[in-house]
Amino acid sequence: MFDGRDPVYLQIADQIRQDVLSGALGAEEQVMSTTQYATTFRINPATAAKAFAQLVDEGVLYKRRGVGMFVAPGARERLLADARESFFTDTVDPVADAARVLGIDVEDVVARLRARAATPAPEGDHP
Amino acid sequence: MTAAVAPPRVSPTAHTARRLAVALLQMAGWFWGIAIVAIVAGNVIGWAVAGATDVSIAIYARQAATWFPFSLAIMLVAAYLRVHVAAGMTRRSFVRAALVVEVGAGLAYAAVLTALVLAERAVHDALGWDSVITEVQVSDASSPVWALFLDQAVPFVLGNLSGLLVGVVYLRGGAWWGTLTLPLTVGPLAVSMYLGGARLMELPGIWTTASDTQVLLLGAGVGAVFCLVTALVFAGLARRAPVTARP
Amino acid sequence: MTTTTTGWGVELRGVTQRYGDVVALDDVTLTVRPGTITGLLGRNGSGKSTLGSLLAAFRRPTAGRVLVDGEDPWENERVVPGICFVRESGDVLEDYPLKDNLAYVSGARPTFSHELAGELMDLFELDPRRKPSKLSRGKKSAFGIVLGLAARAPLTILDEVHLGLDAPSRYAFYETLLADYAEHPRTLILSSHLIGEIEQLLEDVVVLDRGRVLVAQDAETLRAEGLAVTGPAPAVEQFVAGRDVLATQRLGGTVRTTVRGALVEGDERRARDAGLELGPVPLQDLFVHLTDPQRTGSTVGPADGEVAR
Repeated sequence: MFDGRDPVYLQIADQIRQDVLSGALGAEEQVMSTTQYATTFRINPATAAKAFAQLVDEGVLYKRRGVGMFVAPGARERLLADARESFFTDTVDPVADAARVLGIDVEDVVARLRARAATPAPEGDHP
Repeated sequence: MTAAVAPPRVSPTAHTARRLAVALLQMAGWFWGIAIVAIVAGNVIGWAVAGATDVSIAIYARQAATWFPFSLAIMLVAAYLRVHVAAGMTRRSFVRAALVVEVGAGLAYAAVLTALVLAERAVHDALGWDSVITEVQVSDASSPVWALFLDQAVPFVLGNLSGLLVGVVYLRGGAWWGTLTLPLTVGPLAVSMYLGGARLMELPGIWTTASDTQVLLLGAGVGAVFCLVTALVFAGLARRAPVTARP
Repeated sequence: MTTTTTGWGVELRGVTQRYGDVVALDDVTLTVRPGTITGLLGRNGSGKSTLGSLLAAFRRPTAGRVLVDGEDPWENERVVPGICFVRESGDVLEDYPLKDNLAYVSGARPTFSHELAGELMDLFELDPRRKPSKLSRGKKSAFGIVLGLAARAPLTILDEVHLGLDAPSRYAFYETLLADYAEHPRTLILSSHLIGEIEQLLEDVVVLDRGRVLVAQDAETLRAEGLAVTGPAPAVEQFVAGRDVLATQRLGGTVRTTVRGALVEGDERRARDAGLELGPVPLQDLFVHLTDPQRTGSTVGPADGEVAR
């Protein structure tokens, strides 16, 4: 758990973003409190609080005074829009770069994408 | 955050004094229980052997009642100073608590022993026996109660204070210093215990001409000075004592 | 009267502690931020326990000043009830039952929580009628934890209190500590050899080495400074040139070098282009490298960092 090279609070924020994106955390759903998060994953509460603060700034979560943190309405849509925006730069562009290096024709890549899109998605399609 | 209401907090001195008093009281219970059995047994044996016990057996507890609490006082410093400081209290309050409890214990032991001697004397009187006091001290069977009490109280209180001093010297200086300084730490107690008794020997000086009361009061005065000095040295050493790990 | 516990800050200014010829702490200047969980790391004999003893006014430094919440704690009636130092050896009444010990300590600590003490006694399956002298090492450690956490002292120092505890008990300890810390903020100084286990608990880290402060910074920055560079030997050597190399391990033609120092702009790209893998360094490893006795200082050349393992 949390053994990447990024600061732990970024990893936590990322995980919550993924949960919102995948629908595991729905809109208006309450997320774990800082204390719950800290004890569950045995991390410093300040670290968890930092992750939550970032997500509040981004509008993914919002705070209800005295109750806790909730997923903001429309958070998933916003995250999806962001992800779509970065999809081409983060995912497609490297493919094109790699294809050029390997001498693969772009048309072959496009054909592969079409074929792949036509077959049903396999179970548990997660990295 | 929920605001918890703090329980009424006693002063650290009173808190530790209570704890020390409980510990000493437990030991005192054992000590006097055994002492009473021994005193009764001594009387019975004297009667069985000689037909009558014409000496006070109870007063023989004087030595034990000096040295047993003395050894407890040594252990008390070793066991409690560390725990007292670790519980978030100052050495100053420990010193106060220890002094109050040990002086109190000395007076209490003196009162108990005096009461036992008097009770035994009442029994002896009823049986037509004598109650001669052979222990090295000033007061005898004819002395008033206060004199008998004073004769015990001085060495008992000083013994306890010496115990505290020996304890803290061992704690701070280790075995070597603790042992080397014994003449200084225990010397006053030995002097105080035998000061009155020295009069019984044919020594020159005021001893031979002074009255019992004069000698007793002089002894009490010297004893009080010893007590004060011992307590001050103990306080000075204990208030600077580092708390080391348990050996 | 109400008690609100907030953490107390700690400051040491030029603190030296000698035991005869042995220098346990050597001119230490250090600040511990109030309200943090600070890890106090160091090899055996590095001065961790001495530091705790000074903060808790168990002893007085040979030289320098110790300040807790702005005041010298020595014989300080305001400050000492709020400092709780629990060490592995245990400072309890050995021959009295645990419940007597709890009663004694709670009477001396204004912030003591009987509720938490009860929970922890149950959690660690401690029988209040037992005497400390009759407890196993693990149970003794557990009782130290009970006293240390239930005291809710604004400055709590736990020195190797996990010794003898099995893994489930240790995890229970970490969880209770975090939960209670979140509810009742205080300054916690935690010293442990199990760095991997407590790493994520820490906000700040202090590393002592032979009586001196080697590192004092927030855990996140320290972690970010550790970098493991893995790849073909020549590429690694080129990449780490000029960096603070802590250790190098060789496996055939592949080299894994641990360096200290944050990455700068372009480093990641350079590494990727050179076929190098950049990985995190667990705090434990960073600690081992930093306190390696063969290291002479914090600035060593690449050749010195060789570690045979």
